[in-house]
Amino acid sequence: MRGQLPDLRGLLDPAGAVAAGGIVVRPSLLAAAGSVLHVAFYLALFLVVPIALFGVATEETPGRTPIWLLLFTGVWAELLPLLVGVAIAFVRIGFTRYVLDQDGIHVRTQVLATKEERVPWEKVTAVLHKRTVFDAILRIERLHVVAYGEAGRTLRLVGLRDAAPLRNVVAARMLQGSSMETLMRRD
Amino acid sequence: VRPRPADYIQPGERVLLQQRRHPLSVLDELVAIVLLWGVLAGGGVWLVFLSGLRLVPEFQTALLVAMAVLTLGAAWLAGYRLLRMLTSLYTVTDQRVYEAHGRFWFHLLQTTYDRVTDTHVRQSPFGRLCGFGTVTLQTAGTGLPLTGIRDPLAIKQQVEEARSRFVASLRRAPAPATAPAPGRKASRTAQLAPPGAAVPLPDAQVWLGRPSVAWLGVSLLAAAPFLVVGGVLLVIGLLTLPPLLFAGGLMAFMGVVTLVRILIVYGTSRYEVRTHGLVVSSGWLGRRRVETTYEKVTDLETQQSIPGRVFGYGTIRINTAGGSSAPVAFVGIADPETVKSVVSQARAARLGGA
Repeated sequence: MRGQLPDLRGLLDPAGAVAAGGIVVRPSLLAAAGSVLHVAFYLALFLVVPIALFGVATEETPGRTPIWLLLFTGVWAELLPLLVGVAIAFVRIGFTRYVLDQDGIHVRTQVLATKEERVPWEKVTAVLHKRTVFDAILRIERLHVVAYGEAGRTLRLVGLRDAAPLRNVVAARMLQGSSMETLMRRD
Repeated sequence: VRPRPADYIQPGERVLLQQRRHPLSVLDELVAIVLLWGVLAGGGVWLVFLSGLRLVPEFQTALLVAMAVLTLGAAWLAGYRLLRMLTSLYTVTDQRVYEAHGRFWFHLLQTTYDRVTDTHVRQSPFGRLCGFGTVTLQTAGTGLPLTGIRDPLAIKQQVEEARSRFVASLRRAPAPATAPAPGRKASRTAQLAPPGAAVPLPDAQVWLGRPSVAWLGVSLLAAAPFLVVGGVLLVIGLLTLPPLLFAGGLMAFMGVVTLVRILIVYGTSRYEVRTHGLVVSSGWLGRRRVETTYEKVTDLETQQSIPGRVFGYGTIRINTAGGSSAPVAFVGIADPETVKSVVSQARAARLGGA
């Protein structure tokens, strides 16, 4: 993985990239499940659990809002946005590819519209290899590639089954790109 | 609980330093969590049990539930901060710096020395007492914080030395390993660094300064009205109008705080122009030190207020490619234009040498 990577600009369909010897990574769909799990946890913590506790701890009084209605509302208030979130997350992750080539790293998402983010190797300033608690449960990892720029662009490569090889490629590329030119850069 | 083994170090790298986080460095975070929890939960307990107010039963229950959730959240956060401290490992090699923590969850941030724009050292009073602090290596994209590291000034020095050696190796390098992509401008590396041409200059002090006495006087005068007005309001409040006591006390307190802050800045700030870069150090109980190298300086900015022009002092702000704007500032120095030209000459000498 650490050899010279080919120039794949203009050839960003995954099949073409593989044919040209680049590295193409398809994120695991578990990444979508991870983000849903994340949202569900916090919604449960701050919405469903308090409402349920409140319901259990309060005696029903005639003329007041029934407890079952509170619980029903709380559960659906969580479930509805979750169902929408699940659909969006799975479609987005399912149609995303990470491509590493001679030029840099590309994140390409193509469903109906196409979105492509690209960071050239010489613009990479730091690499963050991360595994959250939810990632650890789902046995996936993520890699954040931080780049130069006022906006502080960060490519987030999520849903990686093992991020270490990709991290090593980026780390090796950073070192190979080190030069007086990088040092003097002031953008 | 121990840190994860450092299997992420790249082949061929030489480890110069490896350190775990100081155990006491998590104490301030734990104290803050306990204090916040105590205030919020204590407020709830007071409201429900001690205030004597007749609360609606549902509201009482809701408050108790909120306190339970708050307690769970505080315990979770405290446990996370504790585990993070126990599993933190900082590694400095001859090529880059790594900051890692976590085992079940994991976090590894790394950068190479040529991406570092400036170095910050911070020590709280407690940190100075126990011998730990935070060294942050700022890059143009993010900061790499070495939190709770032992002897931060010595570590910063080791990192600077490693960086100098790395930069010297870049100067000797004939060309980058990455070939330029088709249609791209060729790298200037070969022109900038002919093989074996550059010999790094020794790091020496060119200029040392501190805020001027004129700046101190004007700043104290500017803060004085708070004290005077606050004092007058306090006296009136004591004699005739008690409601003015609070406003007077608040203004007097603000005046005292401002005066003390000005005196601390004047007494402890030191500004250095060195052959390799610029250094700002300050702090009385706590300590703050910011360093940057000339390669990463983007522009110099001089500011002089009207009193500053009359009494001949001003502020030089040095912007770098790092995240925060103007991390290095020489505040209230005498004759700022001369100092600015000293900085410019030192910068030109350094970059000319490169």
